[in-house]
Amino acid sequence: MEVAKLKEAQPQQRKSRLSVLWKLEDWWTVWLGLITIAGIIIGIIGKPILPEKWGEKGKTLLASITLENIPGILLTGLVSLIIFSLAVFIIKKEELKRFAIGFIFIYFLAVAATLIGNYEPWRYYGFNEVVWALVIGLVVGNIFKIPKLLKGAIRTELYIKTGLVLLGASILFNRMLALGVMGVGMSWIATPIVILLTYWFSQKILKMHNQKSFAITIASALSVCGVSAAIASGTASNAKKEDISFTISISLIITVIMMVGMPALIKLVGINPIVGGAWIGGTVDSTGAVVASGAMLGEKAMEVASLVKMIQNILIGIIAFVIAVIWAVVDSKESKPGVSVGVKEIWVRMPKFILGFIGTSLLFSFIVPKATVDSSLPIINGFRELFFTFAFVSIGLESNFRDIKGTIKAGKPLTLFLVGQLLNIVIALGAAYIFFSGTFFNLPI
Amino acid sequence: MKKLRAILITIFLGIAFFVILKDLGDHNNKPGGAGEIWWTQVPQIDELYRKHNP
Repeated sequence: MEVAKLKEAQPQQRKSRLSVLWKLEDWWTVWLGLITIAGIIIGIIGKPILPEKWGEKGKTLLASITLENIPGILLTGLVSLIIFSLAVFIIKKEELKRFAIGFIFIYFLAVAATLIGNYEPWRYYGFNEVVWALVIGLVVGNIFKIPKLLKGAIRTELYIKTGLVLLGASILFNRMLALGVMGVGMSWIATPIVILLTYWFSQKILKMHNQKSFAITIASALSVCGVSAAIASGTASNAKKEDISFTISISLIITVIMMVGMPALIKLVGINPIVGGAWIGGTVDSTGAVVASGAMLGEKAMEVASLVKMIQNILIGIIAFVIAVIWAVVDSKESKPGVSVGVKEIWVRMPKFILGFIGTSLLFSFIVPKATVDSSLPIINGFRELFFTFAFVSIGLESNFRDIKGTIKAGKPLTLFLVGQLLNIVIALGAAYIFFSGTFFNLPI
Repeated sequence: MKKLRAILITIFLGIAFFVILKDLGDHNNKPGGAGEIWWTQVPQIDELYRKHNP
């Protein structure tokens, strides 16, 4: 892993200081994110049209893709192609033709993943477009031999990092502060403790010394917000893509169980629904699962659960940034043992997308007018989902069944996830009682 | 250890499949769902914010 990182950092050092801004893919993820956001705010880029949700309220598969939305689906593909082609053209224009042809293939698979992922009865249990993108990519990549021409658009890093820059726009610190101190207290005290203890367990007990990035990805996913946290922290720590996929898969299984199991347990034990809601918000991974799970306890519990999860969602911005900085420092120290590491060295090694990720978050939290935030966020979020789908199609196409099987067989990551989740459940219950029982503080809701 | 791990995985997968097949989460009558991974996809979260910050 370290060798790969070194190789990655070296070309950057060789290039002139300014040319890295338009020759490095990492920088381009920032520019593409900003260009997309600017296009959306100005009104050049509209809401992406994709297969709609179906399977409920009499909506059949045929209602998902209709003659009316097919032109929109094609246009969305064209807009996405133009956005990413810009980077490919400027970085290495010889690759543009191969990229454009391959992108049609990736887009086709992404639309198929969205179509299946929008089947609501399954989506409710976590089988969304990201999961199906991975499954479809894996099946296609492992069963068929993909022609070289179609491989030109398998660019996981480009899609995932651009998606993360867009994700930053919905990390709204101002809203977090408006939602109340209790949620901040619970999320921002309990969550970092769980991350640190889980990571400590991975290194001291499980001895996952060669899987530090994997360990921090798991620790963040189980303690913050599942899939999004796995993507953000895994990318910030330069984790292997298979590791991110594995974390997401385990998170999905545990989320399904906890979404139903937590409210049942809370009712069985007779815990106050407000405390129970906070407990759910702090432990169930996916945001949508938190709302569904909280609703099983009642309106108030759902509100508290949503509040805690919303504040946790925002925490991922800071966690990903801190991980990126720490990993850059550790990486620099490991490559030059015994030499003091300077700011310049850390800057060179730090993934640049994180600047876009935090930058868009601060921009949308404190500078962009509220009306613009409200009107542009649904569109930005639509493209964010689509770009993540491209990323997971690419991860699937690049991954090998044997590697994934190896990860599962190795056992330590699974043990880490389960132990970390157990720790999370215990610590979050304590925090929920302290902040939401009304014994120590006045309740915000 | 390997056996224990295999049993554990089977149990977790079994419970997850049972929950899905029996629809214990009652998907027709509940908001959200595990497929919505981010707050912008869940209208209830935005509604909560607006309720407290009209």
